[in-house]
Amino acid sequence: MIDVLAVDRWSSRGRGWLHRASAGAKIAAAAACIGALVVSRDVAVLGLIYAGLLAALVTSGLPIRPVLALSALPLAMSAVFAVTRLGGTWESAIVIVEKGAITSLVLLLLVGTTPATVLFSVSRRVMPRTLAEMLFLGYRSIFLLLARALAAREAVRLRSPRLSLAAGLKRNAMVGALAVLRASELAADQYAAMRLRGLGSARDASGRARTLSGDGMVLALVGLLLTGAIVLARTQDAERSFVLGGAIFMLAVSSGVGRWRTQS
Amino acid sequence: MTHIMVPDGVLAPWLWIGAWLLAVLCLAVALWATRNTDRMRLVPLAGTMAAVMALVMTLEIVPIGYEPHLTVLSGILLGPAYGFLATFVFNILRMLVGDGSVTLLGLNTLILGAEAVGGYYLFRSLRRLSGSPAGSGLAAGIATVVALAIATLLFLAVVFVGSLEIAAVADVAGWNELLERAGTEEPGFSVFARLVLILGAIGWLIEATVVGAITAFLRAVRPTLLRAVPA
Repeated sequence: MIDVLAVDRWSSRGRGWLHRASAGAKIAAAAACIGALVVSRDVAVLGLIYAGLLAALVTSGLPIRPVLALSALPLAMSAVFAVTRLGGTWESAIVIVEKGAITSLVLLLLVGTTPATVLFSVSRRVMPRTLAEMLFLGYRSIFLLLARALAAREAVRLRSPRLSLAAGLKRNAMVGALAVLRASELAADQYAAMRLRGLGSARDASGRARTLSGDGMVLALVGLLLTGAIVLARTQDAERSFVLGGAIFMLAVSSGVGRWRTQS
Repeated sequence: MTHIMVPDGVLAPWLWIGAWLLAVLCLAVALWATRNTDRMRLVPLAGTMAAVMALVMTLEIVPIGYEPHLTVLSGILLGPAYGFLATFVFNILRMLVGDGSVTLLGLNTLILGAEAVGGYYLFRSLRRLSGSPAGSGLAAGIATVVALAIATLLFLAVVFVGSLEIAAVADVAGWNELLERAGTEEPGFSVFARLVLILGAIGWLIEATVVGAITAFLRAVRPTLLRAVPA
């Protein structure tokens, strides 16, 4: 199961350079990366973009292994799909895996470094109010539901004997229905309280203030990464290996330095 | 099963761009339909149902490669407009944890939205036969099977139109062994469609049982949740 609680914790407690950038800048950077992977079918170009995202992960202060493990969940599906896809060439298979990996990691970097409240305040600017409110309440409800369902399951497990399939199904349906009922009641209370506090009006707060330097850094780095990808796409043979090797070396060095600075 | 899990940039652009445009149009119609509704009740409920769908989808029935969504239950509780909006929000929530591609958000919203909208209307029609908790549960179960069958046909249409290789899609679902038993390594679309429908039918029955049981319970303890939604 995807650990939503961990993602929420990383986003609200982290203090890395990505956490300091505004949600708008990070959404623009994520959109640029996804746009690049939609138009590109070049293994090396996509590899460079993924290497750039890995460098961002290493220097962001996020826990590397858990984020990579989380990003690997949909990646496994892409990998299976890639094995037999697009005429069976290795290049086309790798391209599919790279595309799945980039989408997954770029979105995890976004939600792992941006508190949900800030993300949803941005969503209110670009989405109709109803959808933005649903998105916010949906996100909060995940935690309410998880807590309710786990507590109910534990209570049922402790108090019930082993049941037949039909009785077990009925009991589990009751647990599910009770969790939905309670979560919707809590969400309704929360929604009423949010509206009393000015949700959807001019008094509505628009999230935590972020630094412009953080934004500049994010946009400059994505610009640099995509420029490198374009240069790589236009080079051939030996030059290509030189450009790719140089870019990856630079990313590795900057990741090492960034990681060292984060830890020290 | 009807949630398309293909990375960004793999399906033909005309397909996902067209689906995005159609989904935006459907979302606009749904938002327009919700303008005079009980927002204080339905917006939080829609958010909750989006979360329910996002969580339930993680409980995959591994042997048949089936992911339940409970989209029909959302349609029954929320009505067609809020049900469609909740489906869109559910897809965004899944996407935000790295599951599901950005470009296919429109296509997934349309197919899963069809389950919610279709489920609502089927449930309304069947529920007239009996208003008891058991009758409501049965109506919800039948509505679930029919709505999921329609959505699976839509999914198959996308596979066919999108020129996906059948063997590749079968591999994603882990049906290699079944394809081998079918006696072909490169099955035609008809073989693939038959396999999807057979395995899907098992999943529909399981999901229908769960949706039926939950609906019967809700009908018994909170019948107001199942009243007709104007939008």
